[in-house]
Amino acid sequence: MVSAVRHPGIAMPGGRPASSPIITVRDLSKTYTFHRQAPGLRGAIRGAIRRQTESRLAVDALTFDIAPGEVVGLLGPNGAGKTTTLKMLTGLLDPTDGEVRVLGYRPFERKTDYLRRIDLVMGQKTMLWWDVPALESFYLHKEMYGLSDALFRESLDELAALLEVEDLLQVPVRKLSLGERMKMELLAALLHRPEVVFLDEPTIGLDVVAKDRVRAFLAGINLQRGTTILVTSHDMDDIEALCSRVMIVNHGRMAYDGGLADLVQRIQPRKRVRATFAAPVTIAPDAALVADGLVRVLDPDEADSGGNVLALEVEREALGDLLSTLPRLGPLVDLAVADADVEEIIRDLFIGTAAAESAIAGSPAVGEGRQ
Amino acid sequence: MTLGEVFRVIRRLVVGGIAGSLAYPVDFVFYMLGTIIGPIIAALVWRAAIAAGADLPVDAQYITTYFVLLSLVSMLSSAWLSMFMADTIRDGRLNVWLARPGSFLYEMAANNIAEKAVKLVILVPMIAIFAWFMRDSLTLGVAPWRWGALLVSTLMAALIFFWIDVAMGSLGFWLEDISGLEWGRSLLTRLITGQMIPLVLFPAWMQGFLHVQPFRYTVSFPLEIVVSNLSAQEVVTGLGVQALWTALFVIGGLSLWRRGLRSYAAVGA
Repeated sequence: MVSAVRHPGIAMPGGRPASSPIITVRDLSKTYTFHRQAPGLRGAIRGAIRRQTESRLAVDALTFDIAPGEVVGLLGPNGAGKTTTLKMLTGLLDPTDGEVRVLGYRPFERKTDYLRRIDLVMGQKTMLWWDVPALESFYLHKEMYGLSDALFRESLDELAALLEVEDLLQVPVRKLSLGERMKMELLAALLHRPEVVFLDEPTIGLDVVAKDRVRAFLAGINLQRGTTILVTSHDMDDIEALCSRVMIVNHGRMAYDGGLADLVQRIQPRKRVRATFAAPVTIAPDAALVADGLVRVLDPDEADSGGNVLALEVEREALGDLLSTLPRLGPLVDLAVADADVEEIIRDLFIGTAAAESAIAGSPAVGEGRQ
Repeated sequence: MTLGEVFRVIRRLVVGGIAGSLAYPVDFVFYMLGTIIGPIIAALVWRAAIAAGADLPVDAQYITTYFVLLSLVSMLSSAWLSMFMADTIRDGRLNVWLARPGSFLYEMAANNIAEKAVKLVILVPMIAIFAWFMRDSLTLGVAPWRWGALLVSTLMAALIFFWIDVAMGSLGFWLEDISGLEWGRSLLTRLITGQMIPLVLFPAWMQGFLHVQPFRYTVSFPLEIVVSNLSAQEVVTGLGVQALWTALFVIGGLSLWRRGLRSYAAVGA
């Protein structure tokens, strides 16, 4: 396992102090058993007579802690083991090996007291009745989670206002848009004020505006209530907007555990600069910064047809020199400085590019778990 | 959860289930027409056979009363959750329930109760019309205790069918598809429950088997309490045997469900 964090202190949103972990995972493993069947009629007959059973290690000795109030992104390519991990944390699956504790409970025992303190939101699975207004489902939620009338009403009013769905509570769920339905799912999930929320692809299928609202809502809930959130998503904007920390799982093993910004700097330490000039400009290959390898000229994007834009990658320590050089090339109209695209970096990590692997393998924190 | 909490959850599930069912009232009218049409045709056929001089072990009163009450008892005792349950397990929708403090079986039970409540409101007027047309040979004036026993027996029959369905649906934890098994079960139960033909009309050599097998207690026995001349002693003994079968199916269904949950792979979460 590779970790970017070398000390047990955990940065908390809203400046809250770090405290003992709310989720503790030690050497967690899960092996699936499945049947293999050859295609075609012959394969079907052979499979019916003599089944070939195989096993696959989906999660391999994961170890990590999550502190109260953290928002952690669990990332990985398809089949990496992140959903299996989420299932073990929520009690859906019994681990093959290792230890999981959430709020002090063993999740797979599925004790009522435990289930009343967490919630799981799956972007592709609804917990709402389809044919009746969402309010009916919320009343059911009230009974399941043993909420008093006063707490239920207070929580419902607060969440409905935050999500701007007051007018939709009495509309049958099947009449709601996808974005409105997801808001109702989140409302249901948070009615009982869970201490830990597990989100599996919370913005899948939503449009840009709806995604933004859901992210803002979740960030607000984390800040106001101190809710611990563990989110899996393939949308890196979700991760960037919500997560102070990411755990990247690949082939069932922890590939990275640390801050997102730290990951970006580690894998792609160069800054990206995009300078727009009033007239076409060029930067000479023998210019000092370029010649020293501190600046690399990138291909300008298709939007720049006139050669007015310079797209550059620059070492962080040379950024100041570059910025003082640029106005000398011509009249500067616009300037943007950014880190490398997170999605690109994660993709490099998923497919195991040499640069990405060496960047995290060369980390001084190799082998140190975030515990 | 305490019993009180479980009761409140199921009550809320029933309310939601009724509200959901009422979104499709016309569908339910057609379901109930489908439920009553078979008994009407069967009653007419068997009455015609008796009128033509067929030598049956029962008379027209028995046949008429049996088929008038059949649609009510078979609806009240029925369950329809096995395929839905197996699908829910297979496609991972069960995950939503497992992560909440309430069993998926509460939802299944509540759905059963809620739909039966809606169906009852629609079916009773249909049965009343059916009974009015058959009033010449209808015998409903039996001792009140027999109606009480019919109610108790029908409740146990509903439990038997419910837990058979739970057992069948739980096979979804291990099997990709239970539709073949379900089709076989459906055929078998229709034949030997008394839903298609009163068990008393089967050949004499089959009577011994038909009398002891559990499916008699899902439809035929509750009806026999009112339409046949079973003595009080025979009714009490029958209810005792039915209670044993009920306990057996509850234990069997619950065991399969719990074993399945332990082996659940939570596909597709």
